Amino acid sequence: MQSKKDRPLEALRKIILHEDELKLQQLEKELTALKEQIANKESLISSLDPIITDLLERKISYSKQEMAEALAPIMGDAIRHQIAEAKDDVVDALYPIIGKTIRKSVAEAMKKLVETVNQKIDQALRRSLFKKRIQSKITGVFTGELVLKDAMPFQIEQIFLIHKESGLLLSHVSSEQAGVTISQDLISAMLTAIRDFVSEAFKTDKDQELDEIQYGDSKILLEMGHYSYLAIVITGIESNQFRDDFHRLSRQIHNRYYKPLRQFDGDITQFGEMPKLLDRFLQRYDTKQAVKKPKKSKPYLLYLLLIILLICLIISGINRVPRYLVNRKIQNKVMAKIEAIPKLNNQNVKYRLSNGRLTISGTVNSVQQKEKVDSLVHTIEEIRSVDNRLKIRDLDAFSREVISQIRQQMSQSVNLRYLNPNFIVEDDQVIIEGKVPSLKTKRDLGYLVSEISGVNIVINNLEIHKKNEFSIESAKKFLSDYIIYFDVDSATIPDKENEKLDAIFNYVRGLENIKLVIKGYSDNLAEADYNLQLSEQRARSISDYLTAKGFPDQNVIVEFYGEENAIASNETEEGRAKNRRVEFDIVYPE
Amino acid sequence: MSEKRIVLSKKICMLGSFGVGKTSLVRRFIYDEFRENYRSTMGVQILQKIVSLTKDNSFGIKLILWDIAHIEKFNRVIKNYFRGSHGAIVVCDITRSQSFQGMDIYLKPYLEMNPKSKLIFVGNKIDLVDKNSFDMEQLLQISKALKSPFITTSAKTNENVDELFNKLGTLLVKAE
Repeated sequence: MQSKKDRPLEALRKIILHEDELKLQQLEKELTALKEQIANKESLISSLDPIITDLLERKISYSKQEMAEALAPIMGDAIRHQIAEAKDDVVDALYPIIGKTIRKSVAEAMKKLVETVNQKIDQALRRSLFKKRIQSKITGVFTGELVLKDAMPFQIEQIFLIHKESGLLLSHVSSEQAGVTISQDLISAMLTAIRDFVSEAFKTDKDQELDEIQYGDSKILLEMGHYSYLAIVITGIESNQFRDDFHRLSRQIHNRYYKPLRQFDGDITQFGEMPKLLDRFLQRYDTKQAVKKPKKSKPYLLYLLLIILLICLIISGINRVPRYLVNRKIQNKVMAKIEAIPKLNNQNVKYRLSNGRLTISGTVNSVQQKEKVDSLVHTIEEIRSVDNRLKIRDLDAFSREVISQIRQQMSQSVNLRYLNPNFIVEDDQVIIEGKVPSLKTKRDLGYLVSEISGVNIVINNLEIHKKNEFSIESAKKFLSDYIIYFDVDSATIPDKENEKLDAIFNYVRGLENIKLVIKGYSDNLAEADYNLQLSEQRARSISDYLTAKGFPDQNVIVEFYGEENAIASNETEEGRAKNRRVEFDIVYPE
Repeated sequence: MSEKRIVLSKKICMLGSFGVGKTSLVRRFIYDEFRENYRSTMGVQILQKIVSLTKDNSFGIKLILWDIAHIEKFNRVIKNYFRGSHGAIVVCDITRSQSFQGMDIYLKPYLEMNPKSKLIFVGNKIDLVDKNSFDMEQLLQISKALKSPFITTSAKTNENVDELFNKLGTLLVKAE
């Protein structure tokens, strides 16, 4: 209880402290409100937002470095965390900004590069373009091609002659500039493996071959022959003439080494002379070597000797020239007479003139031709005597040999073996007559004949069948050569039979308006009903194979006969194996 | 030493199932090295070595070795690698009888393409078995049927590896 004495004191305190108390209460209220505001984050952020932005701007403008140092560790961690957590989101977020910037930079850099390249080309060409245009007019080669050839000079680095089947290296030459680090034998084998791989993996047609491999500035050109192929490593741009020469070289090799190539069994000593032949070809195109030849001091002594020799020749020639001119005149007359004889290959006739005596040697096709030569040269006044040593060629034997070789080669080609064209052999010339299904077949056969040893000229008179004209008999004959054999109780096509099926596919897909009849058979090991079913499955397997390759389903007729129509005895395993088969036939729909 | 005169160049195929040691044998023969874990060959690997035919090393035969990868079903690409081969080394792993039971998969197409080819049958990994306990009857029968020699080797311990290739070299020369 308060005493009476305290009351005045209390009243006094109230009078003195009243205002302070009110202020204190007000402060307490504000403090509570502040505490609540801090506790509520949303409210705090909305309150601080207008101030902090202003504050940060001021802080950054006054002490940028300090701010960067302070924020770097936090920002770094935050970015790392974000990338680790949501990489795609970060990329998506940044792409519109960074992608655009990069595109812009690249476009600008490209623009500058193009301008620089254009300037350089312009400067370089201006000097030589005039010269090139004149050269182009003279040679008929486009100016651009000449400029490019100058910019990228052509050079043969290496030539490989490789056995087609085994991939073994038969011969190799290389230019001085060629950097050879790997064994040429391994290169040959690997090239063959690549060629085999490509022709199998990407084959669209049986006869398509890999003919070029490009790497950097270099190229490997491949030229296929029957038994070997050439691989030439080149740099720069080759001319069309080079391609022709390359093809001619391949033919030359096949003509000259026909037998060793055909019978090659690893004996590389048979090709001892080959490097010379290849080297001559390489030297013809060895432009770099010609350019790089070091300048030598002039051989004055040699010049002097040459001049003395020349004087001696002139003195001796003064006496000989008139005789030479006379001989030359007579020789021209002889040549004109011989050339006038029909069907005589004048390249096979050699003649020599000495003191008015003419010696003729070589081969002609008949006695009549020999006598004709004799009588014609006798009409030349200047010839005092004639020694006619001409031999009669056994044309029939030669012709038979050539045709036999052609037929043998044809039998090895899936696409040509069924053809029966007519060959007329006249001296070193072969005329081909008959009809073939396509232009490709015509070309293939022409090429095959041109590769035969002893054949220099091929006259390809083959005609191409018009639609539906193609003989059904020849198609039937072709198909009758192909029988697909199956294992016991199996309708699965054995792997070894795929090659036959591919040949059939390649053949029949080129024929129009035909139906392919696939006939299934079996041996007699099981019940007849079962065998009938099995023979149907076999025929259908073949049908599926061919249609999967692209032969039209509607052009297939499946027939099955079970154990009927056996082509061999079912008493032996050998016979039964022959009966487990599928045969083919062809019909034109009515 | 003077260089050998090469008179013959022959293509040799290494045949055999997966993991029998074809590559190991080739690497041991050519580089005299062996690794416990080779990666399996992809497609084909080609290496070469010259084998002496005379004691004075004056004549040699160049063997171009086509180490062909084994795949379960031989396809046409692999078959193509067999073309023109003069000889084959048929490798089996003597610790795995499956390796010589499935020999037909590659041997049949190989012989169809190269009927005159010379063969040598090899029982590899001899270091892993007791020589006396291993039954080689099946392999011997196959090699006998094909009139081809049989040899056991170890690429790991280099046992009979050089002998194998020298034997093949001699076989090829005799066939000439």
